[in-house]
Amino acid sequence: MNMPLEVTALHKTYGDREVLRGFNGTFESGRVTALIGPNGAGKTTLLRIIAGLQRADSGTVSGGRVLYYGGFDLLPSRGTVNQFRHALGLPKHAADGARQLRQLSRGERQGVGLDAAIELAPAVLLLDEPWTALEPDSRASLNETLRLIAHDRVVLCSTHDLDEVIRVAEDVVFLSNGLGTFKRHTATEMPDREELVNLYRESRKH
Amino acid sequence: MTPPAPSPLRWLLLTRALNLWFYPVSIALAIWMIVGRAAGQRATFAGYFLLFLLPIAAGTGLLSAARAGEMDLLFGAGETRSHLWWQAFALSFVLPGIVATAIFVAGGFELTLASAARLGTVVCFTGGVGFAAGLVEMRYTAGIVWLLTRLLIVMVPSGLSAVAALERGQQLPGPFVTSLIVVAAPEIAIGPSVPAMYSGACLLAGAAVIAWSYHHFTHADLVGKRSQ
Repeated sequence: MNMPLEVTALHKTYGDREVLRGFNGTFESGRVTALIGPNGAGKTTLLRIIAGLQRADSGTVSGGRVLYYGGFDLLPSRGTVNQFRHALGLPKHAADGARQLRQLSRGERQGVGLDAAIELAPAVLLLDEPWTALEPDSRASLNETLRLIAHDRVVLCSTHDLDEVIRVAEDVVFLSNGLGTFKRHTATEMPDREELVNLYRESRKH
Repeated sequence: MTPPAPSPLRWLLLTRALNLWFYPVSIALAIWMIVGRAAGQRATFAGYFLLFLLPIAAGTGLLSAARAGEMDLLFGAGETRSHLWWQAFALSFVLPGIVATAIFVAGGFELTLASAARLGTVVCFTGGVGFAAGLVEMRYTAGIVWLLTRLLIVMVPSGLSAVAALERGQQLPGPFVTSLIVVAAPEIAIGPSVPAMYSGACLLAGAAVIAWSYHHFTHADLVGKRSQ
């Protein structure tokens, strides 16, 4: 099992707006973790700081090689699927390899990007809204893959899709007011949708 | 598990963060120069034109692409910011700079140690400024203003005559005006009529913006979609 991802006292401000206010968390391999919270709560900022793409004002992150995947609209606009994969050092794609990226549908692009992110096998895989634009069977396939790969790496998914959170996540982090609330669920005690919705409701009262 | 080796060159091409048009243009100008030389002409225009195009070719928009999140997967694949900057620097500045310099020299330029040094400082300045300015979003403002100024100075009769007089060494304006002319048309500093201190200033300025661009790129906040 890989080393856990340790996030300690992360602070981040945009101008005079404090997005993260000393966020702490330990994310272990072996479990899929969902990161949820209202729009603007700092979910993407937290993931990008963990990936080293953004700089925190203070705080530390420790763990293995991190990969952040932000969605199909961040894929290159030119080239074929195989050229895209080749640039990342991945083997050719047998089925859709010759297709131009710009000619793929949103869902297909999302699938191509997710496949690459997963195949690159980072120690920490951060997925931002991974279920966006995916068809139901692709979502089910992704969930199966996430459960499979999580046994030896940290998998953290940011989303608003509570149905997928309930299906796949074992740990849930609710981010609000710059701090995270952690909820751990065992195999017999799956996340409850109403409980998660209430977290959103409560956060709006603050 | 050891990650597969990513290819920054291929990724830069896919994300359009590398200007390839410079090379066919260079080949076309080189052919034109060879034909001109065969006809007994000095054909220096091709070299000057390539030097003019160099900062445009060097302006890759690398940081804009990285800020927008287009490099996220590449970084996730194990590429470092520092290595990516060096790759972009080599492919966007060094290689086009060598091509432009070679064609400029082949066009009939009288190569001496002093003239080669002057040429090097000008390439460092124009390519360095183009690379650094193209690296950030200001390429759409400051970079274009600079390029338009360069165009204007050779299109406006008074600007052209000032440059021509300076090149012939007939009259040297004051330091301030000379500095402005060198900033707008640094190629003037290749000739011996402009004091060497302006070439030195070009070298220092070019090296400074290149160093700044490295520091800026390796420390920038890459905010992703928020930047769009």
